[in-house]
Amino acid sequence: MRLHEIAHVEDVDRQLIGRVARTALAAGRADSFLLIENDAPSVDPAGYLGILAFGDASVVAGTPIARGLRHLGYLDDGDVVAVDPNGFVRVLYRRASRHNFILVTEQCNSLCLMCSQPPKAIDDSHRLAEHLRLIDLIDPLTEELGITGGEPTLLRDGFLQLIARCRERLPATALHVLTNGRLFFYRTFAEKLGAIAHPDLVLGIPLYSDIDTHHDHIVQASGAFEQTVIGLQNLDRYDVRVEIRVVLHALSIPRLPQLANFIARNFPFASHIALMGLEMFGLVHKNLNQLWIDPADYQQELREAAGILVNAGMNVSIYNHQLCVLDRRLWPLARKSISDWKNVYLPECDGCDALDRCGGFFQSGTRIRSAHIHPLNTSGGRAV
Amino acid sequence: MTITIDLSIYPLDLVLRTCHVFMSRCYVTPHTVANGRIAVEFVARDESDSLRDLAGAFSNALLDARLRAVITDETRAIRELLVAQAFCEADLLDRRDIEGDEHTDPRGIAG
Amino acid sequence: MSGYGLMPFRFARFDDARTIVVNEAGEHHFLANEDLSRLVMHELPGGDETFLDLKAKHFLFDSDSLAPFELLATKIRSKKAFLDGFTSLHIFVISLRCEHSCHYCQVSRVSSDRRRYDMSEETARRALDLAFRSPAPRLKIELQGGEPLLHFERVSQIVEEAEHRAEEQDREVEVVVTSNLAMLDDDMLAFFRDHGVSLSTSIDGPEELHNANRPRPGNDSHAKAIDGIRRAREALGHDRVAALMTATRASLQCPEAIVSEYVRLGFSSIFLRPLSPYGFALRSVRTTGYSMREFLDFYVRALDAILTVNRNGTYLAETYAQLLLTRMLTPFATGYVDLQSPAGAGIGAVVYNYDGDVYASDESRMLAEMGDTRFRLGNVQSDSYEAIFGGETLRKIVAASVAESIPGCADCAFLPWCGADPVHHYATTGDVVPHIPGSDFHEKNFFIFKHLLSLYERDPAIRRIFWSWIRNEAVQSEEVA
Repeated sequence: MRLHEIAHVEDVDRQLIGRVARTALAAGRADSFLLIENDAPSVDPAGYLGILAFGDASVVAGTPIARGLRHLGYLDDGDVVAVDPNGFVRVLYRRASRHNFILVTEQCNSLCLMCSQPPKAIDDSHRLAEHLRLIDLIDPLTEELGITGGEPTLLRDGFLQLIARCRERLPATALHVLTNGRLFFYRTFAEKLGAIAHPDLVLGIPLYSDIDTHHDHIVQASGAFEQTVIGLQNLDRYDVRVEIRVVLHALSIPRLPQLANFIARNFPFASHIALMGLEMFGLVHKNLNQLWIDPADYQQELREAAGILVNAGMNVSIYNHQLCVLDRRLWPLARKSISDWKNVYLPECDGCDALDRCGGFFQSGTRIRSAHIHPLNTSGGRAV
Repeated sequence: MTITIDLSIYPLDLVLRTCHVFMSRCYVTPHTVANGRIAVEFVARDESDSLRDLAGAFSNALLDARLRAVITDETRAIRELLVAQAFCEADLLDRRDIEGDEHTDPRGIAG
Repeated sequence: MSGYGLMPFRFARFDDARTIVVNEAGEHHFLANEDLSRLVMHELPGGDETFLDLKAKHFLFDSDSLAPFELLATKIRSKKAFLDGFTSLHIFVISLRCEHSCHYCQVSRVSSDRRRYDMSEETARRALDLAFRSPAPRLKIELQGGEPLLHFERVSQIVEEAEHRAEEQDREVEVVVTSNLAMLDDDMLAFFRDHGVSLSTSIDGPEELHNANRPRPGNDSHAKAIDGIRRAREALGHDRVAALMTATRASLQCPEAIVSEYVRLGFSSIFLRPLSPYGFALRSVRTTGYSMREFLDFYVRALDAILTVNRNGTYLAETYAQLLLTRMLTPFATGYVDLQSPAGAGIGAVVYNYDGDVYASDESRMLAEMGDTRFRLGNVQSDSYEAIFGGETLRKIVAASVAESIPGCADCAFLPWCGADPVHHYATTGDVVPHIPGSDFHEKNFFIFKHLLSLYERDPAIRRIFWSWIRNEAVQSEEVA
């Protein structure tokens, strides 16, 4: 499923962001693109923000139009797209998806060895207005919305503005922010975020070791550990909910149980702990020799760590692990998390009875994977 | 049974404190001896007590007491700071170099 | 060797090979004996796993990072969080009358017809005034005696008035009635049900033992208690009825039978309590008394039996172990007034006697009954809240109860998990400050800490059970840990 394509545009003199209207609207046309599939609109396009056309629709003079679209046929009422003067059409939000997110900036102040979204050193802070506009257009019935990057907090006041706008426009939408949390080392920043009092906000913050130098090495930033752990404390001080995320690879596995203990003793307030299998994206390939470990080879550490956290009464989830290489006793913690457009299975999976429970693989993750993938029978044992 | 302790290695108050700890197990009497040494005499409370074991345990306890004194001396200031920080609403730790915020960013966190 | 500094910690020799170190927030680690001196002498190599473990647990630091200090300070604060809210447990001695004559009773025995040992309506009202002056967001009111059900009109008055005030002030109040249940009738049960009151009773063990410890006319204390428990569970709900036991010399012989009785009766917790050195227990010490050593032998056997029960699939927590384990293994504070530093006397719990006198603890009240009123804080009729809770008497008790300042306690490895009980120390030795060693309070707690640690280290199945007690929920069959 593609989220963008290049179209032929006319009368688009600035970036336009609007909802999609497949069905004619009585009101709210100025915020919406009319979507037409045939050559001629059967509906009067007057008053709409613009037209999105799949065919070669004839142009109504002065109306912004993007035509010749081929890959975005799934668009439906309430979705939000952006159309740029250069013809770039991007899908920013889909009502039918459970995994909408706003990528707030591509800048980052860390450079994790396993970064799946490698940062770019361009100043894209001007795009804040675009994000705020998007929030205005998103359906308030949306259950969950992600805020990601790069590092979203680099926008500082802009970040706070986004959260505040979400509170205002999308009060019923759960907000999940992915951030390294380092800027919350400064108490005032955490205080300001807490003051917004968003009704359902969680910051997902990675912590990869109980040892400062190990964590700093993994994220390639000196001082990151100190900043992150003090940031976590500051966030709790101002009642901002946090989730702690750990990516499992050769550098984080050896002291994983100790990290679990560190989390249980120092951050008992964390609302959730996410233990995540390695995604084969981005910088992982470059650093593979440091990072790769077959998941089948770290089940003992994983079980011990999960046990420590479960004993301590914390909520634990395991993501991105195929069930056949996950210790059976950990299955209750496994979440089928790979998002709706990434799951694939392999020939080795043929005949497996657990396919519907298992998340399978990322498309990118089928080349480098465990050597122990095998089908399971209904009782969870190896299928013949 | 008597053991002699060099007061230049184990200060007097350490010796006396350790004697106190052993009071419930046996009778312990310190005596001054010349040349900066002190003698500690052990008398059994019970027939079955081994004075050698008690004296041995006493020596070990003295070693531990000395370790504790080292730890206490080295960590006294930190401990006071920690307890004060724990119970004080304001921030006591040295914030001079980081009394900034996410805008001034004296630590250069934003990179 | 790498440059590092020590964070504050205490230690104890644990066994032939190992030393236990405990930091200021109560986190522990086991070290090989030789590693302790290397650690203190700054000779522990920076690459060792032990070095890393000690760094992560805040026993040492090796940079100018603020993280270890911030984290440790926060954890120290969390451990003392039981101080928040000040006095939260308010005990009312409704009446000294009781038809039982238990050998170990802490209350002066008065026969059933002496009404002048009942709390008056006015006294109860004034005591409630004081209780509701407490800043604690959640109040717990315990109604005790003698036997409170012998003066039920006072019980019902207090319950109703407390409920009324709780509504007015928008606070939570929990009421527990401690009773032998022999007088429990259906009207009382209906009242308790309607007002959400819980019950706490005594079950010392199987019938013969229980009745021998707790005589009453007809010698049917056990049968009465069982019947009361059954009817109370039906009316109030299974979890609204708790039981505890007191160990007498006779009890020490049969730990397994006592545990079995608790399982048979369907309790999910059992509190193995030794005798207190007060009241009738002191007078009958030759027949019912024993040394702390003997109690600890009993404790070990009983705990063993309890662990077996859990292994066989039935959840049964030992209350004292549950408390200590929570202190040892979690970052959370526990409010248990008899074992905290500073002690909970007055500042955690307070006792309003039937005559209006206010005491820092039950033990203080017992001392007064025996003629020593030094721990009396005042009287509900004549003294203000400020005079009682801010007066010299209470301040002196609290000052004496900061374990961190007590000579025998200050260096103890288990200090962060332990506490002080100045009234108990005074009653047993004549001094509010304990003499360690030699203190039975110290002997008990020191032993149990070590014992729980050895059990924990030894067996993953026991670790699972202990954690289920800490979380207060049964072990799942397909357990992760």
